[in-house]
Amino acid sequence: MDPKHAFLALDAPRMGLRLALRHQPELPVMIGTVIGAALNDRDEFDRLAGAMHAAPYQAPPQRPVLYLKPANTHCGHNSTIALDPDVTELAVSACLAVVIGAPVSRATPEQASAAMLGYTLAADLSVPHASFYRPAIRQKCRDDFCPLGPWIVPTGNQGVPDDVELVLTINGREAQHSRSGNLVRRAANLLAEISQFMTFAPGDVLLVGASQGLSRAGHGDHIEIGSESVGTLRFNFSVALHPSQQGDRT
Amino acid sequence: MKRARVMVNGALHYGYALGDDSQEYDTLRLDDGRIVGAHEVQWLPPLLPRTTFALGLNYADHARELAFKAPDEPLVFLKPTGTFIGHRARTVRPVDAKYMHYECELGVVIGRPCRNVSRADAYRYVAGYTIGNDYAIRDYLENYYRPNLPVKGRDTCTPLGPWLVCADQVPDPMNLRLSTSVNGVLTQQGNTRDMIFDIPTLIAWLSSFMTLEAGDLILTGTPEGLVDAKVGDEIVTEIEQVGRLVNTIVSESAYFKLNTMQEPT
Repeated sequence: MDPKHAFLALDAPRMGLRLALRHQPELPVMIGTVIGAALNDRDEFDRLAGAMHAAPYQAPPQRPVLYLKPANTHCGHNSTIALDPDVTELAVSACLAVVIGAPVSRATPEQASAAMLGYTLAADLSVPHASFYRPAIRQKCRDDFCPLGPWIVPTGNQGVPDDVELVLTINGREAQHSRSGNLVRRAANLLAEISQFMTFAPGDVLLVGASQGLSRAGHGDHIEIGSESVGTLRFNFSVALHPSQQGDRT
Repeated sequence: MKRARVMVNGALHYGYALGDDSQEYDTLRLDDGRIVGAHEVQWLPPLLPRTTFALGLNYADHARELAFKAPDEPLVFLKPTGTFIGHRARTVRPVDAKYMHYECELGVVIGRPCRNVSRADAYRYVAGYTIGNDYAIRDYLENYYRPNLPVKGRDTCTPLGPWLVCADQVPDPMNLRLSTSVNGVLTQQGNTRDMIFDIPTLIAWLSSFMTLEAGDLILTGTPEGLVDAKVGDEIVTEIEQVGRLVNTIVSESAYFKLNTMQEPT
């Protein structure tokens, strides 16, 4: 790279996923940091509870178990997600995704709730892995491993509903039925607690109410996550055509 | 080229280092030609990173210090954007923290998108280098996605800068002396050549399963020599050819006092 132009790409305006508000396509929201809470579903927590006192965990978690889905994982409704050939099986977790509309820092649950712009659907995709001990970057952060959409439902005066039903279907067959109400920490409490140490910005997303990633999918599968109050998020998987292609992606 | 992002007279500017011989610079040339003193500007992080990867246990001596065996694959965790602050800023020590330590780290800034890069080609995708001080509050460690975000993702807890140094000015990034001093006393010393996973290996490994983009930042880990950072301490993290990053620890109560004063009475 010519040193004169070394920082050129760094200085270009940032591109990112934009999601519009439902019925207001002229109001797109630029998606920022996406943060998820693992073991926040009661059933999932209870299933691991037996192992929590043994190595490597030693004790049940006292704080939210958080992970980030970085920018390369964000993709929209109707995406075709190209999987590397070594990824033959995927864990698919249906999530309710809360979109933040105003800065949240050191907030009470009431303040956190008031800062929520709306909610949408998301899939937290990962290469199946059993351990929660180390950050699962290689398993959770592959390209397009966090589809979001199809749009943001504004919270209005009601706030984010506490119990949204999520139906995950794979190739038209119902794979899992889950509710976002069965939580260790409700969305507003979770957001308030995390905001004690990190500030959320407008466009940031908090994934709550994941369906535990018990469902498996693979190459060629068509996935739908449906919810009566939001709609349907669709995506499918293909095999990367040139998986060994090296170098530039410009 | 050593480039900073600075606030001067109510506006954001790029500031360029004048001269290349010393680590810290007294004067900057702004993009409009003005020459300003280093103390007349407010330093911002030299870039707003897109995705930030940080390495745990990437120096064998540090892994020993923390009583861990060196990992077989890179131990990578992600950091949220809000954690970054600039040169000469203040980092908050939580009131209940008993052990908060600095970590002097070489930051590698990706300059263009890449996927499946070989070790041999990896440096072609590096735009430049900076210094990250990747503070950890060890009291908050839990064995879930360890090191967990309350330890490593806190607001104000990652000073970055002062400069983004163009890659051509750092011909051998795998042979740079790192050091940290606390109130002028040298406490940490190392050399980037002692990384377990070197820069080309990290770029090759990350890009083997995900696309790296311009603005992504890799904080490459820290050598041994950790000391509890107390309120009032001036922590200077320094890397040969890259710069000298100054930070001061402030108490939670002092830091947030301004905010409570602004609230209506």
